[in-house]
Amino acid sequence: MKIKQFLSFSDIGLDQSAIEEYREYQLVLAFGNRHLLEEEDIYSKLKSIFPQAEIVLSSTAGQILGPRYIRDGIVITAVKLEHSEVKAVAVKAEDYENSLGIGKDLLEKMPTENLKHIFILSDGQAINGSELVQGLYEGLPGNIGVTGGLAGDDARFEKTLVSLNGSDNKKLVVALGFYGERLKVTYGSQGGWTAFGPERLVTKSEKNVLYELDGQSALDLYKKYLGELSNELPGSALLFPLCIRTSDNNETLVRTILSVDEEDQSMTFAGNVPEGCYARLMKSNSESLIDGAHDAAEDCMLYDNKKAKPELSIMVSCIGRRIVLDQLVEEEVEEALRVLGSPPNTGFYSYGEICPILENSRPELHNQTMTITTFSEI
Amino acid sequence: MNRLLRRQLQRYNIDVEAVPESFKKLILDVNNSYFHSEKERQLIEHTMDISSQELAEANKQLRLRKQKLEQYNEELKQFSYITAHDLKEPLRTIGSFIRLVERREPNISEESKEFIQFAIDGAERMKDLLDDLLKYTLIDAPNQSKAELLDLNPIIELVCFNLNTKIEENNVMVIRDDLPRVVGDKSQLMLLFQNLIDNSIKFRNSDIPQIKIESIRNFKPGYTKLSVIDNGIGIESSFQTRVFDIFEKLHNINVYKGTGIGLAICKKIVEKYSGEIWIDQDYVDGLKLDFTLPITII
Repeated sequence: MKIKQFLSFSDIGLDQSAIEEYREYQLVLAFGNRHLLEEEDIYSKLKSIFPQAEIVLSSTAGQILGPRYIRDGIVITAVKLEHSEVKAVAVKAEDYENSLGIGKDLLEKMPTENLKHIFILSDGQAINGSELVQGLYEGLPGNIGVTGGLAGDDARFEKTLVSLNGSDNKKLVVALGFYGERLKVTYGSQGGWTAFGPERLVTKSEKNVLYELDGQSALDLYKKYLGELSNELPGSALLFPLCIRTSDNNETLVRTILSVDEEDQSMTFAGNVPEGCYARLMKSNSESLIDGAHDAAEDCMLYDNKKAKPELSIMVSCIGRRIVLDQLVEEEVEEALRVLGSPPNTGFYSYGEICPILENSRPELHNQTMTITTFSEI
Repeated sequence: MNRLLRRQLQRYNIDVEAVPESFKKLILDVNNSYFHSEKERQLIEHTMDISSQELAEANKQLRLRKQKLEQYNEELKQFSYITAHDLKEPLRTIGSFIRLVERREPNISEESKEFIQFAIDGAERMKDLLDDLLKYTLIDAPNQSKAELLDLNPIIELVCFNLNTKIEENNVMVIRDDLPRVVGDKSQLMLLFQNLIDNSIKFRNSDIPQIKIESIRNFKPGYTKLSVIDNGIGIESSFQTRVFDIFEKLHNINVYKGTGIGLAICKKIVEKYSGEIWIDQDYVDGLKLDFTLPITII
């Protein structure tokens, strides 16, 4: 596997032999601030250097390059698989009223022979993350892992961008299918948040829009806990994600806030918050989050009882973690990368992460986690 | 610069301006970390404050609710007692004057005589109902009972003595184990066994009705199990929980007399002492009624 990463186009180097080689690269991931991706014609520039590659652009809430957090700039990672293949398919998020159909349609477009893993890069606003993974799970041939993330829009929560191969539509859900017997993919997802306080019954909600907890306005509850930080909603609400538990099983899921509507006193989350389930606020601190990132990387390193040797890692971390870590944000990336053996690394801060909870189990939509996918060819 | 860090640097006489570049960067990093930690601590403190407030408020609400409930309970108990008690007086009046009519008019028709008898029977039934209802409401009434550790053997003796006429008339055989001591109020325990034995006699199914009273000590920690077993008509399994409901009668009033409150009274007495009462659904040779009572006063 060969990886080429750079931040700006002047960086790329004019070495003739390198340029020849770039023609054979099959996948290019470009993660950047939405405004930058909208302004420059990134796609054309990339196409001219990597004519054979599937080129995916995704807006983020912050980019990762190696051990560094990149606030401004577009992080470009180009991949040449030597014994494997990658194929990209996409659908338009806005074509679907119910995100359940997205997974099914994506899988239909994707050949399944020798399929090893699917990596999703999805619009972060127009889809319902819970429904998306449900739809993927239903059509999935057994034993295929699905990881990925929802695009971000900094802490603005206005509009995200995902495009494939210069598509006109910028609100896509892209599925990257990875194929090949010699391809090994591992993944891990951990949080570092703890729930506190009483369980509150979700008394009024509609899919991923929450109105009331225990008959009282959920927004008012958040404002109480945020105090002065209420002025920085919705971003500051990321400090207190919601931990939800349905009454029939004791499994819990974490939900991140996406937006707040003062008029109808509602809070929109990145996944469903069904009526009748119990919610608790969660909190964290930098140390716990860094430990979480460490644990996610540890999960990636165990593979078939052998130590994996990742050749490429993609880190999808939640914007909520970036808000808590603040200037310490690189510490979680550095720590995870150290555990992985420092392979070439890219990633972004997202509005939601996709990963199975256990190896080979169904994919779930997570929030507030550090979700890592590693690739290597054996 | 963070105050904590500044103090530490001063303690070791470190002049930030004079140190090498890499060391300056380290100090800057550490400074950032200190500020970051402070911010995190402040958020946690604020969170604790709000959490404590919520807890205090929830506590207050709970206390108020408890007060209201206790008040309501007292009112309800009073109401039940007064109702049962005060309804008896008008009933007595009805009964008396009907009998008076009967005595004063010896020449009324046979049919009318029959009507008068029905009226008197109705009044009698109502009186029985009110009496049992009163007993039922009194079980939980404050200051109406005293819990003490009692030997059940003399209690059963006394109950059989009170029911002696019925026992002799119907050729009933009452057998009992050597029964243990249990916690309860003497009159209430008497009422409990009286109702059960009375029922067994009433719902007999043989020329030699037999009632056995058995016990299993330490059936479960702190509790002893007692059983009243008869060879009577038994209770069909689908009714075995409903019979403990108040006013529940399984048979027509013409077949078996009764108010339908007897077993409800038994249940209330047993549950007053945190015991349980149930019918053994596997016993088919009559009725086996089990209940638990505590052996220590809590």
